[in-house]
Amino acid sequence: MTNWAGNLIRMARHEKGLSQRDLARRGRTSQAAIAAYEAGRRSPTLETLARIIRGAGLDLRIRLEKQDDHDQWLARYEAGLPAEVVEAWRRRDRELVAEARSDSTERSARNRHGLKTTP
Amino acid sequence: MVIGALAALLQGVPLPRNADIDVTPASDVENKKRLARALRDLEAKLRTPGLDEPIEITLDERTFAGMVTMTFTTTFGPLDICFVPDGTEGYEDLKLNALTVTRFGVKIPVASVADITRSKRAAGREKDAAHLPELLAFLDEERKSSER
Repeated sequence: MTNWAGNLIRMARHEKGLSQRDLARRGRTSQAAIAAYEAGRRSPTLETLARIIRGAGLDLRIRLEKQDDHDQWLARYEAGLPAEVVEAWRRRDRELVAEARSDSTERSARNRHGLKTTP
Repeated sequence: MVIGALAALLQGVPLPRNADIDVTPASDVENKKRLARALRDLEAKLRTPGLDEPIEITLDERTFAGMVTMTFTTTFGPLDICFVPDGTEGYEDLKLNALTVTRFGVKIPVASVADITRSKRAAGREKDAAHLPELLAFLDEERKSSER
């Protein structure tokens, strides 16, 4: 189970440009509680979550949707892949991230020195 | 255009991702013909909800008529064609902020991290919410960097 509630709180805070302290005050809770929810150390009740989200000036809406089995299918597909294939794919993903970050650092450095940046 | 977790990853956001690749194609007829040809080259089969085994279908530009999302298996792995990602109006909308990343010697158009975030927010599934902290942190860092 991922930290769904904490991520929603963080998303609401980001959308409204609020600090944890601001949102805590508006949502009638403590900054420590907001930090714990966001970090996944604690889970709010649905009522508490709705109150915090309302504090950000947003509404929490819950709806039922038809189940999508795509993720389960993918999980089965991935489970059937040889371990070395999965490892190679994860390693390539890490390399792609590192490469993108290296490009970005280089671009920033060039911008700081007033050099023309290639797209 | 590559969208989703892979697009974010190509821009330096370390998202965990599934084996599938999500793309949003331009929806003009010529591009749909190219897309159909590419899918035929990849021996794509359609994956449909509720069925474990993908099915062979005729792949031409008419295949995509009225479609929002189609999921395929190919010789290189799963490929999702998403004409209108959640929270967006499709290719023309995403193109406004898209970037080109060169990897493996190929220029790859990718949706911006801001648009990926917008789409994941709109999708609202648990797995999308799980990606938001990394995406939001990246956008924060990008904003701070542009202010320096």
